[in-house]
Amino acid sequence: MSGGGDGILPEGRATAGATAGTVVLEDVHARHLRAIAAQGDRAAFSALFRHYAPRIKSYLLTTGLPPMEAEELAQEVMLTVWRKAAIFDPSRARAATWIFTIARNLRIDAARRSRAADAAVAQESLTPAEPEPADDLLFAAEAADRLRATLDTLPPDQLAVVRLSFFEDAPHPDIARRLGIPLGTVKSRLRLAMARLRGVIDPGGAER
Amino acid sequence: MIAAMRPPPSPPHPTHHPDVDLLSRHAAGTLADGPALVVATHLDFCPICRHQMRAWEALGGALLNSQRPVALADDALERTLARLDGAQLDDARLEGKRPPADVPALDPDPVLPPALRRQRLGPWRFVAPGIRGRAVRVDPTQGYKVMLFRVAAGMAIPMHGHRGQEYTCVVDGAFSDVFGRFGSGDMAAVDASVDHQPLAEPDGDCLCLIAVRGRLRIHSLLGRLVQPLVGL
Ligand SMILES: [Zn+2]
Repeated sequence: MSGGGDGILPEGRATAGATAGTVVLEDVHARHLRAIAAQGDRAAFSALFRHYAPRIKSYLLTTGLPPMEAEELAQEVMLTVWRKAAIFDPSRARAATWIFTIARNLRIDAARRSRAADAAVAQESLTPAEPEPADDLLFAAEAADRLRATLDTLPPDQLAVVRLSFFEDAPHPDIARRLGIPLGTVKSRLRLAMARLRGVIDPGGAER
Repeated sequence: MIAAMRPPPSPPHPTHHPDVDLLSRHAAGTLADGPALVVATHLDFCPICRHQMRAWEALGGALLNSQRPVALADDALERTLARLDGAQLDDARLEGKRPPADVPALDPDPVLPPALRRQRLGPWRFVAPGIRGRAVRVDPTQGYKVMLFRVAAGMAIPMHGHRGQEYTCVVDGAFSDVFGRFGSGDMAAVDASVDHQPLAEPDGDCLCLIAVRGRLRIHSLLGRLVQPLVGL
């Protein structure tokens, strides 16, 4: 280990507190997923639905989906969470990460279906693959916790820029217009925020 | 550190990787189909980038959790609960052994990585002496053409003189150009301003996946011959 990543996260009370709360929430969500897989627990599903469905709908709206479609697709995502709960492996990914990848993949499929000139194109599956057993999966789970903690410490204006940039891949001038801030401010906020996040995601990145 | 704990020898890892921008966009699901397939092919070869990809997905999860909730319809939970009974539960033990119903049958070519075997590939067709190609069907409305080329040892790869972005991943064999040597799993993303001229290495065929945006410029006899196949 180079130890280069250790200095990146600020050592503050807010970070420590947020991390603790986050981990507890993740544990609860992972337990709900296990209960769904083991005994088709509807109460556990309802609890997950109440937390995630409104956030998934919000995410889908951010990516530009019209409200009706975002509503339908959010329910579809939750239905898929129910169906695939047995596949969820907490050692591979946090519940939020896993649910995000389901929402992302269904969004890609829905966009492709709506664009497809013929049914054949709609059937293609180009969604990113599942992790492989040989990969260092704990890293991703731990990175998720550290990313959560880092997001909690980002100023809201930086977070807003990161959100639009990551979820929507919005061009910088678009972000500037939508947030009502100058283009230069978008660029500087994104640079600051991404430097922090990249330090968490890829502590050795500079050496590659 | 401890030799006994080292994993068994594996094929060498790729040395040319997608940049952080491509990887994060792949994780976010915002890449167009052409480049997404080239990145997915690289990921099948590259544990380093798979690692990064999981971390970018974790950012997606963290952003999702901090997303401002937007209320669903009052009866949304009720309606979804009503649909659970009809929903078939996926069994973890069956996962991976049974292709999902909505995915085409896997291509039988064992040299292809999983990302490519899941795609709809056209038949091998003659492109030019020493070059054969298979079309990979992706959503045409996104503006990318994707081809799998098999280029005989020592031949030029027919994609120079393009306009727009070009994404390449070597699937088998190797090629070299001004940027260096590209072997199995190595990926390149170059811009229209770069007029490189990749050559398949002399000791074997090079199988490579190429996604190009826009039109191929008529640049050579080879370029003209490639045109009908690529459908321009
Ligand atoms: Zn890589």
